[in-house]
Amino acid sequence: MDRLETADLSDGDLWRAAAKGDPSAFGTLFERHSDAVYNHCFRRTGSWEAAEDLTSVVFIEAWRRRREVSLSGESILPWLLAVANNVVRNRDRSLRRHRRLLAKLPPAVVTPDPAEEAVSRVDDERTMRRILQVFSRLLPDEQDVLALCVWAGLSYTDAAVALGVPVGTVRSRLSRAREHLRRLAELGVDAGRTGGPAPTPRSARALAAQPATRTNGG
Amino acid sequence: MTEIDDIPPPRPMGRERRGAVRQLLEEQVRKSTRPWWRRSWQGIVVGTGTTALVVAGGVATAYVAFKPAEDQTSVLCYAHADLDADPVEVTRIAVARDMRAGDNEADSGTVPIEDPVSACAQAWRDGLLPSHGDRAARPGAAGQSPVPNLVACTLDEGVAAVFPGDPATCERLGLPRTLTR
Repeated sequence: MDRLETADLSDGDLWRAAAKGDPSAFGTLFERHSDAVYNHCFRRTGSWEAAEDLTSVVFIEAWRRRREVSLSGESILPWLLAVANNVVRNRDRSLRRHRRLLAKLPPAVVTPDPAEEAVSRVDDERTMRRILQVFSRLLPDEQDVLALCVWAGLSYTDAAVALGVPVGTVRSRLSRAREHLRRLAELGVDAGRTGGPAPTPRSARALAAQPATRTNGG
Repeated sequence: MTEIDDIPPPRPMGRERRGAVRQLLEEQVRKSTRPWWRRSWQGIVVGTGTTALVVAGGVATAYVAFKPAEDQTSVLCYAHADLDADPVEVTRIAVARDMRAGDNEADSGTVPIEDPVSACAQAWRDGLLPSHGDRAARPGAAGQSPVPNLVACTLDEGVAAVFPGDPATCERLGLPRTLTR
């Protein structure tokens, strides 16, 4: 199957072709979703460099566990993001497990051109790490649902598939996460409190109030 | 100012790295869909000794490959000796606590299954494998389904898969037999 053909296929078709041994089908799935997974890993770690390694691990893990895949409609992205959540949560173990394969890749050094982007990426990391200081106060399942629905823009249905829970549970976890953020904001817990610049009490409140988007953005 | 909802914009992965990862993944697919005798021998024990057979009139030796199931947190029980069996004809057995979709089995606090054949035999007895046609498990007099002869083979992802059949079944499927401790 060549690249032109595979580009028109659905995730489900590509996944089935890959499972039957078609490498380019899996390669196309990687091209299709790698940026979404990469940005998801960045948001969970605050490091572009770590996100590069973790993205590789997510796809290696996805292949290893190909018999467990669950598609949401015809999209594999929710499942990939769920795998990413777990890879990030067990970051050290995940990287250790696949170190032999990762060693075959060029170093995960983010040296973009032009230099302006390098500065932007450093700014991104600084911003994201401050955000994560608040985010990390939430319970793990609250973090997962917020990262999937609010940051990655999954629908409730897709998030339900990703998390392996009913849609109602996604709604209630999201609502609980927002409530938790509201309480943190009231307590004055914010990114700036733990090493960042001046405290910004509306940060936690802002995320608490933000509705989930319905698109599968990167 | 930090806005928790104002996350940095998405950015693409570096082109060089992306190409290298794609290559690596495609190689993984190629490798894992090759039959075991065309893969690297790493991790596979080839037993000759007592398992070597001498074919009448010749000196051909039948090699039997073994590989331990590195991932013992679950076992796949197949209703038929067919790797492409419909998912409803495959039962995954895992003894796990609080395991969610997408969880890495190694991190789920699961109890290792050291004897995959026994685990799947129980699944057959409990009627968890589908019963239809003459390959079916039909409930016996005691209300339990009969258990066919079973054999455990190791999938390339390191999980044991138990099929109805005999040791030759693994060879026919291109899989090493599961080495149990």
